[in-house]
Amino acid sequence: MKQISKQGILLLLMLFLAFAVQAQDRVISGKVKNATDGSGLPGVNIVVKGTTAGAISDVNGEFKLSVPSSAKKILFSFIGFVGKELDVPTSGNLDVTLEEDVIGLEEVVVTGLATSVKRSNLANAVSSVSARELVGTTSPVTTDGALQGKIAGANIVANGSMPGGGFNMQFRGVSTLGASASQPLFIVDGVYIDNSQNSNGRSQANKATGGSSASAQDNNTNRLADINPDDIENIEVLKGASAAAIYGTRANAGVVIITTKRGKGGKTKINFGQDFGFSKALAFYGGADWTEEKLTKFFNEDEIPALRTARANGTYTDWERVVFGETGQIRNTRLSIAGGDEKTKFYVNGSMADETGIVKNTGFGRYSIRANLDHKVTKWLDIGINSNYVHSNNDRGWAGNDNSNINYGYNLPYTKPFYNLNPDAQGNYPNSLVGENPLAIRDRAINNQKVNRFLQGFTANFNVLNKQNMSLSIKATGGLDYQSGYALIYLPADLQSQLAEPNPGYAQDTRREVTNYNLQLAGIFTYSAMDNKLELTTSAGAVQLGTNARDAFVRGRGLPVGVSNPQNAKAFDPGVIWQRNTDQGFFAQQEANYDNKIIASVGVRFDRSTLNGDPAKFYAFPRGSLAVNLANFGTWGDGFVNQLKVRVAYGQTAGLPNFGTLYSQLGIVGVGGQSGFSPSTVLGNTGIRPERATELEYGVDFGLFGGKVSGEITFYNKKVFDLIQPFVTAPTTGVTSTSVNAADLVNTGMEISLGADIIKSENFSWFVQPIVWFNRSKITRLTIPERLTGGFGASFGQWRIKEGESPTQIVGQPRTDPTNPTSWTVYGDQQPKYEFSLNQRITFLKNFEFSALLSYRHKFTVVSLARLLWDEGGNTSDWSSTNQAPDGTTPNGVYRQSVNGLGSDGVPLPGSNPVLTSFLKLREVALYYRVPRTQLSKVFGNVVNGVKIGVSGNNLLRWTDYTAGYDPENSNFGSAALGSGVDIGSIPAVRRFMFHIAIDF
Amino acid sequence: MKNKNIKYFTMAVCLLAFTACSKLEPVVDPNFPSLGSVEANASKSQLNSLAIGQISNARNGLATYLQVTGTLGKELFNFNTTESRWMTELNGIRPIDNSAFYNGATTAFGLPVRQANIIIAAVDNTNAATAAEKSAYKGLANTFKGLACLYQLNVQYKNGIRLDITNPFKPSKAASYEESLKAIAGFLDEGASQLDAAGASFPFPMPSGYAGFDTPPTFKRFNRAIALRVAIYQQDWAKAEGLLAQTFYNETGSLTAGPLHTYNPSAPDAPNPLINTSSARVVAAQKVMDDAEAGDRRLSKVTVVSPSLNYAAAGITYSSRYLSNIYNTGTTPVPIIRNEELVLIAAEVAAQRNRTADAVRLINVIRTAAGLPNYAGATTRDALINAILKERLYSLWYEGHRWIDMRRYDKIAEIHLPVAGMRVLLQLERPVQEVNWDNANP
Repeated sequence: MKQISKQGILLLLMLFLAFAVQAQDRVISGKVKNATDGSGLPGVNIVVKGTTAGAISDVNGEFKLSVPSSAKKILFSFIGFVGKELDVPTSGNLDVTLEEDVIGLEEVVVTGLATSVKRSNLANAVSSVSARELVGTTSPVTTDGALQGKIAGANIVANGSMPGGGFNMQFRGVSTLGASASQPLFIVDGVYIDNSQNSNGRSQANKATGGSSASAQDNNTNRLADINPDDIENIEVLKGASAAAIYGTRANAGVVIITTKRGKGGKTKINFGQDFGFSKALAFYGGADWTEEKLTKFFNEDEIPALRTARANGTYTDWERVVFGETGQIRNTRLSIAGGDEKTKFYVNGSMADETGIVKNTGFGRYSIRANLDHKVTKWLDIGINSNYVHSNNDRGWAGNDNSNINYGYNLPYTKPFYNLNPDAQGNYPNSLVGENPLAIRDRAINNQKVNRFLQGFTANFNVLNKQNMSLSIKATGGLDYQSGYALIYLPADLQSQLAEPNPGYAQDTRREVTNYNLQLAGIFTYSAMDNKLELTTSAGAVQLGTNARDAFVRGRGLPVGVSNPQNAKAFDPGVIWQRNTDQGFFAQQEANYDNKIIASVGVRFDRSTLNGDPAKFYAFPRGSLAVNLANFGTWGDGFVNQLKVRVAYGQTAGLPNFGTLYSQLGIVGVGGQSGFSPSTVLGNTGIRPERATELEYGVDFGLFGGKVSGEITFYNKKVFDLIQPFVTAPTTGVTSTSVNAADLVNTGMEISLGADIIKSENFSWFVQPIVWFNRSKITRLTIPERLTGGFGASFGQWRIKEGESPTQIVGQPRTDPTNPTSWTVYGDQQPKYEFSLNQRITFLKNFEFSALLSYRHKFTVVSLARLLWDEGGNTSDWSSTNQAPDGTTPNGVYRQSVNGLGSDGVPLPGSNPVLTSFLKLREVALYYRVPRTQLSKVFGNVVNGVKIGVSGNNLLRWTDYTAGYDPENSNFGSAALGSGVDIGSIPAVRRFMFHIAIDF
Repeated sequence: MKNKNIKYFTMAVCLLAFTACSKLEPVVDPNFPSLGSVEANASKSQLNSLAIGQISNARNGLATYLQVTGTLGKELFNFNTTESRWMTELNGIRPIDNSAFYNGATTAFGLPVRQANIIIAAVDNTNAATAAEKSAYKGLANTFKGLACLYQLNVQYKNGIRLDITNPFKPSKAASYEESLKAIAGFLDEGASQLDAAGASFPFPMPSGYAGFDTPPTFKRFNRAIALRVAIYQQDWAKAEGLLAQTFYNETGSLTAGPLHTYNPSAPDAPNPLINTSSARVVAAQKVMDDAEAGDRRLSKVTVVSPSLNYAAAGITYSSRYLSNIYNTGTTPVPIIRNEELVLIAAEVAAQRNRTADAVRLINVIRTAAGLPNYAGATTRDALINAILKERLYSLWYEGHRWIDMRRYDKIAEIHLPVAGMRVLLQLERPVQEVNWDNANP
């Protein structure tokens, strides 16, 4: 309550300052021109400094502005251009020329919950990704996929290559060891959105996991996939606690602020875009030859007749290439209309993304419609709403871990090329000696997940006071994310694997309804002093957010043939899980800007949540930052240096305990028709506290040669305290663990991003943007015994939580000291030694643009069981080679199965499951041609304003030393802080090619 | 304008104050009852639910236990198509892993022991039950506690087990094998005397699998049968002789008599975990069944498949034509202990106590039931013991005895190893979490 009254007093004080003065106006008119070609710039925002009086330039760049007599300066700003501040002219005319903002100095970055700051004054390394960078090259399916390689300090790893994506995103190392949100908080236009991976029971259908309904082995996408990347204007990434402190207890894994496109007024713009494309497997893994000798010596000689028959009939078939060799079809269509007048602006976008995978009956479709509306009700009230409806439809197929031969990703490594799998004329699939016919699963099993989703946000901005040197506004924002998902898993009863079950046939209908809401009320007071040289901004407010989730499923086993409705099953296994939680917080922030030379801010947030042991307790998250624009103190090196900023920022955030951490449950079990209680083996802890992070970040930003070269160098030290860990007890006590605040860790690292216009001329320009970053993590305190987590046991490699070591370190058998049961062999770290990406953009012949994004990840460890499956099955492409075994005669595929661990040279032996690897991928590449306007107007008159056509590709090329599976980017366990990055039963990596056409009307 | 502004602003401030002052109540677990709800003043229906929970989780770990001990004793193999460690690590071909899934053969038995402790504490902390009812709950709890500890000890053997886990954060250190056996006998004895004081019926309906063992006096016969097993492991033949009479041992009765675990595939019950599935196939060791005497009816426990089932992975090739045929539906019950075992124990006790004629007669009870001629071998004690071990192999196949039998008679070396490189492990490693706990809490 103390904090509340403080906030109240603060706001009341601001209220007392509110008194309005009317002034005399006069009219100024003029034209805004593009410095590059002198053409008129439409849509430029023109504001009288210190007021909200403003105008927007029209199609020809012309404007008219009503200016109070007291006004001294007029501000011109436009996205992508360096803004200008000019004196109010004595005459009624003012012509302005704006320069393109190559390095984004003018870009406005959200720093508080209610305020923002120009990038050139920013004290944090906030990575921004514009629409052009996000989807301007190619059309990745999901937003997280589109961010890969574009953010310094972000480790974004694909969980697989099924359509619909699925990514694990970590900023500046891991911020939790698994008991709090591992993924960043995503906020779309003020709406806190759900990004969970919904379970659907697939891992029960194939027995990858037993029992639990919330399984990470369902291999579903994370629900960021519902957000249409085309709608996005800009993404800001608050990577650490120093930048994200004002978001409090939800921000430990970082905050991603997504701003969608909005109408800019002026002429109504219609944009139509169409992509056509296809996808193919990047590489295959199997293909070993089979001989009678191989069967006799290493497998089963009983199968020799089948081999002979297949050879004789010409039916010897590489089934991997049959199942994974399809061509996926890509089709994206979008139509947007943006426009409006001075009072009302709108943006409407309907889009459809539809693609099929490299496996038959897999695919992803997203149908999205968005309407963003802004309206100026009166001089003192602006409102805005953002509405988005999305329908996603995902067929994820059957890949990953499996314990019933169902997943083709797991089955094909064992499927020999002489097996007969093709269905007969009646459509009957022959049995396979592996236990299931992968073609039957591909063609007949269903793994479908659909989501209907509404995102609704609103803002209301009250300009309570608007004077030349001070203003007060009240901003109310809120949002709702409503998601209704339904999923079907179906294995027909007459499948070979099902006939081997006591109750053949599996169907599960899963429903998930999630409502996330957030409300925020803030007051922003600005005050200019010292002849407008000092600008002070005070903001304060309150937030409340909550989640209400209901999951329900009916799982049925034992179905009549051809029936997929689980209600008709013989044996049922229903499940219902409810979750609700609420957070409340208060924040206050004071920012000061002295003449764009010294920019400082301090702030604090107080948060409480029902997820904490004590829901009434507030936790405080202070922050502070300082940026000094050295270049603004005078002219440096004759204009050679046009920006030089040193900055330092500190802040705190937290991560909340996962739902359920508090509870010691009695589970429900049953026998003989009666149900009873049996305690959960995990004990709750009502004393649990949030995981808290502090971060100190500092660095330097520079712009040289008139902004042609720019750079950002950042160092950080992010400490996370009170990490929640399972306090693992001896399991023979009947308790396996309870959650306790037991560990601290530190992430340190460096991020360098550079941008350079190497050549810039009318006919040829070449922009290069290299980014390099690394992170090192270390556990600095651990009050529980060291433990292994993730993976499938120490034989194959697990993550080790141990004081003094990296939490993402991967260890495994054999033990280095046989008498010491925890003396595991260290196989490296899941985090790369460094990541490097290189973005290039070349424009030539005026209208052609070539861009390419290369992404390199250096030396990281992947836990792979993929090769083991292929070796066991005898199908690895180099199975029969004999170059690895010291005896020179044992086939590699046999030899590798029994050599694990490190060789005497410290290098993992060929059969090691954890492998150290690197890769270089050509993430994105594109060539576009913009049809010249002169040509267009000849043909279309003024109807068509722009036509752009092009070709692009996604992951077209890859160089890697990874030989333990299809691709080092794979995660059987989905997104997780620890334990993702296990490659088993996966499908080949995919390259995508696309043809694009975009027309502006 | 000014007034209007202030009006809206005041409204906004009120809204802010409203938001801030709404209290944040704790969210009660919406999904499950809490452990705390039974720890004090438990109602009778809560105690009944705990008792049913005890009977239900007495089935925990059963499949892992029977398949692991069966593999270790090489009476059977699990041809698991998606998990090669059944063939490699458990057969000594690759190093045993103290964090692998098969450690469930030890760890799964912690929960039934804890459940028993929770029942005993709940009963002592409520007035909702009569003295006799309290004894009934406790007698049931201690019986299953003894059984779970025995399974655990069988797998851990000389590593011993923790005997006091009342406080999961302060468990006792593992006691020696001998001490552990003694303590298990103590749990069972305590349960037996509690059952004696429990009156004529249980306060809750016993599941149908316990037909014939569904009152405290008849349930005690099951308790004593487990105690008898412990006694022969202790090689306390005199005690065993005394216990036999208190069990449901019946030389002329059905050999399949005994309490059963029942199953139902619909939740909250569970399906029989021992049935063969698309990936897990339990086969008898080829040589074991090949060596069986002609006409042995106990061979009906397996079906002969043609062609042979073949295991070819991880560098191992091995085949067997005998597929387990005991459990074929999700509702097939699993015996906990059968009269056939009691008869064989009676024979063993007789042999050990040099009552040769009794031993031979009892061996012949088993052989006759199996459709085999009477025992014609030597009647020295060693010969009789060997004969009994052989009958036990076939009579109790896939019931978790072969490995333990050969170990207690120090005949591990006589177990046939069908694949080069195989070994018979004497015991599993202590699970890694157990080791870690002791390292951190010396």
